[in-house]
Amino acid sequence: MLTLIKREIQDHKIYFLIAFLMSIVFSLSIIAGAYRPEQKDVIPILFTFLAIITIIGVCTLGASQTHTEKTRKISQFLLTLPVTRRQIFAARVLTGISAILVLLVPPAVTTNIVGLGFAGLWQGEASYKYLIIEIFSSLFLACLGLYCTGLLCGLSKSRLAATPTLLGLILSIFLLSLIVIKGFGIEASIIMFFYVASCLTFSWLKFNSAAFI
Amino acid sequence: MSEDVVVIDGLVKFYDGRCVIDGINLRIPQGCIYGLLGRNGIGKTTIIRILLGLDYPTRGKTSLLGEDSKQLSPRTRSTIGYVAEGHNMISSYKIDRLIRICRELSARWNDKLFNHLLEMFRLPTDRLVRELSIGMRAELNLALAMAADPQLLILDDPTLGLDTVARRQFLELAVDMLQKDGRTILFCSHILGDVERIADRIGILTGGKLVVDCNLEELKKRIKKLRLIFAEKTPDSLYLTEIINQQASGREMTITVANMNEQKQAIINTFGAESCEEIPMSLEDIFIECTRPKQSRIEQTV
Repeated sequence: MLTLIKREIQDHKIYFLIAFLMSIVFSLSIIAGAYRPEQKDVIPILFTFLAIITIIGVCTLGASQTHTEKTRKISQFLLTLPVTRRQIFAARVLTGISAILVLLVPPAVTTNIVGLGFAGLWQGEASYKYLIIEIFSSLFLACLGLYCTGLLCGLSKSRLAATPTLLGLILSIFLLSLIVIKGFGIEASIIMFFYVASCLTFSWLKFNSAAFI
Repeated sequence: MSEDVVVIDGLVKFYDGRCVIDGINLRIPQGCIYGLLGRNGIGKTTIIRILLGLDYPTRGKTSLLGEDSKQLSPRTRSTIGYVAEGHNMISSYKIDRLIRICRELSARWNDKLFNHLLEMFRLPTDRLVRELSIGMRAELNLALAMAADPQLLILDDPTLGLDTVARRQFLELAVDMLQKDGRTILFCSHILGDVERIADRIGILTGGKLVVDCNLEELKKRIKKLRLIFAEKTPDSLYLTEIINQQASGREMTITVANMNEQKQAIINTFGAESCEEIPMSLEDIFIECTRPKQSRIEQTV
């Protein structure tokens, strides 16, 4: 299993590099936002820019994983080795999750540290840590949802025109809008969780029933 | 583990509404070298893909080493070596990376044997797979399959694109290394000489059906080609069953009959042929007779 994950990471190392660089920019923006309040107008623009790159990035990672493996006949070769379809799919999803964690964990840690620096502001707010967990778990699920949409795009035979994929994209944009309008919270997380679960199930069923020719 | 290494029961496969495989039953015992023959696009590779779980059957069941093909466990997969048609390995990888992946995933990797094969084939390990010639790809594919120490080796047209010397070397190596330990080989090829040289048992696939499944000697005994010369015009029909092919011209008639026996010979004799001569048939002749399209057989018969 580790070999399969290592192979996926090596094949998609550019995405990990981009995720790492973005997490640094993201973390620096959080620090700048906290310590340089005069730049508060720039921060939302920067965050929007980062969000757009994240949406495109994670979606492309998922699509690239499933599409390149189809064109390069990777699964076809791997399945002749002592590997099952389940292991190949699990390695792929775990790689996607790792990339999202590379993107989100450093900003989450930075937010926590910055928050502790402003401990005075948060005194009495027992839910501070809970808030950070809530925000980043929602962001994680949103990224995972987009990643799964990408997986489906890559698995689709008729490219983006395939109805389920198009519906998936529309639904994920709708769900992201929901987070922007309603804010982070348990409701958004639950919706995203169900979306991720259904996307993963659908992707697995498609991958498991595929003929590798 | 069952004694039959490969089991196919009532296999049916449709592609886009077209029946490619039409109810095939096959059993390959342990230690057998089985040559599966058939024309292009007849379904040989499809059978292999279904056996390996790369594709699914429309109906029927297949199993390898006693395990259902749809749910082959990594342990069983580790005892199967596969050399694919066209040698589709991951072409964008460097050879040493591909070797590392195979070594790490294989439960029974034999480093000593693999290095010996690399040396013998003089394969470079610092190049991309796609930069190799087709012959070198075939050798790399065989080396990777062999190094996993397989109980069952599936070769899907492995010598395609190899020159005569490399082809002979490739086959001899495959047979030498695997047969001495009583391992099983399922071998598909268009080169009938290769199959004739190494196979214990032959299967001929035509029209989605396995029309022949027996050992080579038995096949040559069972299918006979006879040249009959009649005193006058040839009869319209000899009223024989299992005629594979029949051609008539003037006083001469050539028939290819399956399961030739004394009873059939007696029926032929009743037509009063002046001479009845048996024409020796190679595997290639038998294959051509068995796979000839029905339409052309009828035209020739007429």
